[in-house]
Amino acid sequence: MLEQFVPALWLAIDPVNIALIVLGVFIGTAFGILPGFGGSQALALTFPFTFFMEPASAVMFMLSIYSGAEYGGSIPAILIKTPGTSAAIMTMLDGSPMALKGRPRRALQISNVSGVVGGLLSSVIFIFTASGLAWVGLQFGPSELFAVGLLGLTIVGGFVGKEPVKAFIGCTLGLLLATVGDSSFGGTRLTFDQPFLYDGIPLIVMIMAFLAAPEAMRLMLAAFAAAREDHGERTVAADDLVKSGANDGFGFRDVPKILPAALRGGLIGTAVGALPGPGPTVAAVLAYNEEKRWSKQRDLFGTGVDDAIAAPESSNNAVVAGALVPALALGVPGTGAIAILLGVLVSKGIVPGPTLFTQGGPLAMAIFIGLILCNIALLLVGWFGIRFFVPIAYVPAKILAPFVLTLLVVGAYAYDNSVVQVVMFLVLGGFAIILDKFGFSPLPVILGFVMGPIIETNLGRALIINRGDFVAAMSHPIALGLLVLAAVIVAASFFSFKPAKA
Amino acid sequence: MSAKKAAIQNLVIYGLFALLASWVFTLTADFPQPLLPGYPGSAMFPRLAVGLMGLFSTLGFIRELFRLMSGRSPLPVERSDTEGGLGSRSGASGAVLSCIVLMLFVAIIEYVGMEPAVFLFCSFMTYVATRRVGASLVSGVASVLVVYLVFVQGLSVFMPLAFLPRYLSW
Repeated sequence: MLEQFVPALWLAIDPVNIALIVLGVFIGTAFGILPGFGGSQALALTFPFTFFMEPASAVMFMLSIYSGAEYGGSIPAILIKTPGTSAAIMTMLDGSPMALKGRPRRALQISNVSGVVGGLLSSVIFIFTASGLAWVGLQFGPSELFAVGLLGLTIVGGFVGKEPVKAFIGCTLGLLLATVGDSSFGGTRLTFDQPFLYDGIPLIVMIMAFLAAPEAMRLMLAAFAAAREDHGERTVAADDLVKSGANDGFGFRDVPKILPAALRGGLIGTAVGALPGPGPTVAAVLAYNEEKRWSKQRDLFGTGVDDAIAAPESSNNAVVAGALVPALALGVPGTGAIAILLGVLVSKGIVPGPTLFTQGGPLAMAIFIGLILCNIALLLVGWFGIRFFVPIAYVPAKILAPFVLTLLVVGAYAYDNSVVQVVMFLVLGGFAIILDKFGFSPLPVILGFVMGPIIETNLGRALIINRGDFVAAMSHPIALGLLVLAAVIVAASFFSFKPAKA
Repeated sequence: MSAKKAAIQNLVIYGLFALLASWVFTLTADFPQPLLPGYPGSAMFPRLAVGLMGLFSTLGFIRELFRLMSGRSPLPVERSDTEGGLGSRSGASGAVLSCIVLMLFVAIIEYVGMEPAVFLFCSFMTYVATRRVGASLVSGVASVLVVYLVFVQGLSVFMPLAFLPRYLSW
């Protein structure tokens, strides 16, 4: 893979790609600042823009938005005690007290630098582990890849939401929706004689409907209820930052002091990211708790400790590259945002999986270099441009919500220049909102939808090789072991649930 | 929401998913048969998906039934019944209003053009949320300009336009 380094470098440092990375970091940070909008929602809203990009450019653009969004969530968490993303709650625990002590810039810069350290660390780990995992993946046949896909979904089901059964049902719903349209085995399925369904449900429509629509509706309802009139009042901390141009104590010479915590957080984030399901919030919680457990200042945690900001921030940014490892190497996305990234690749005719590393040319290596460039851009944007992002935290929901809904409708329209896709988006979005109301997370549905074709293709191949004998196809030792593991995870998730006594 | 009500709600949901799985399973009988012996047909994968859906729904149904009978409560559904949320009365009416206005927006976009449709939608929704005419008008105009400049001019998306290209095009 290393022989692809030079062509990949040329691809990554193309001026258009550099511009897209910087733009993506800006857009992602701005989205991350808005409460309720995390990486998944930012990617869902900006997915239509990738229709007009080359594959490598599209992936780098989306990665930079994702990285920016994960960082952006910490800005309102520190300044106005309103986390932009759920992972930023852990940053808020010490970031906000530090800001209230009159050192908001220091808190933001620790968050920025440690996020970049986590991102760079996980990018380096990504290149070694992903190519290694891809080598393992290449030894797998269709039976094993089918079992890996199923195992990925069960792990996601086991982690997402409070009721695993609902997450498992969500996965199967996604798998079912993925079968709508033309079948590679002949004929059409579940089209109800509607021509617009022959090509299936477009991924972009699914992503916007399930990941962005519930959040947009919540924002709209918050606007109606005036529950979040101004996303928090202007605080002393924010005013300090806006007024003060002076550095309040954190410089590059201080980086070594937070480096151990940032590296520990980065390792935790990378490991958690590689697991399908948990995502950046779990990574941030784990990193904070571990840091507290080992720190000599553990009694001061919650009052504005440097390491307590560095560890969770580093871990939640490290999730980005960590989650790319199984996604690119095995085709198993671990988070909604990574599922969208895989969707971008699929929409460009690129199949994620082990062959991406052997037959995909410099793309995989370009993604790695792009990740490093993303983090460099994040450092520069965060270090020098922070004051420009502060006003975004004060955009009221009542102004933002109608615009977000408009963007969703126009984005769905842009896919095929047709109202049909918009109607499909509205129907599926309404369904997603209802599911959300009844406690079904949209994430398993999207993961099932993205992985459905990959799982079906591998199952089909396995059956053809074994002349239609399902038992023979799944009796390969590795495939059988993975399926047994999947069954154990399902059973453990089901039986470990302990309802509270009424 | 009381524990009993939540458990009954879950029972109904799991029951509905079990019914959905059964119905789709019957639909798969009409899917094309395998082209060659040993080949999986078009029905194989959807059957696997709905089979698993039926299994999980049934398991959930049984557990919820057990929970109801033993007086244990399910975990609360998050973010549904808070004030202004979808589960509250005001939230539900807001959601219905949003859906109706969204449908009208989509219905008129190809007839009146993108600019008037986006302007009307954004202005109306902002007015409902703020009760300020000035803010609503500014929001509508800004949204039209952003959509036009980003999607039409920036990304060359074909959209049904009413008048802007005559005044703002390069």
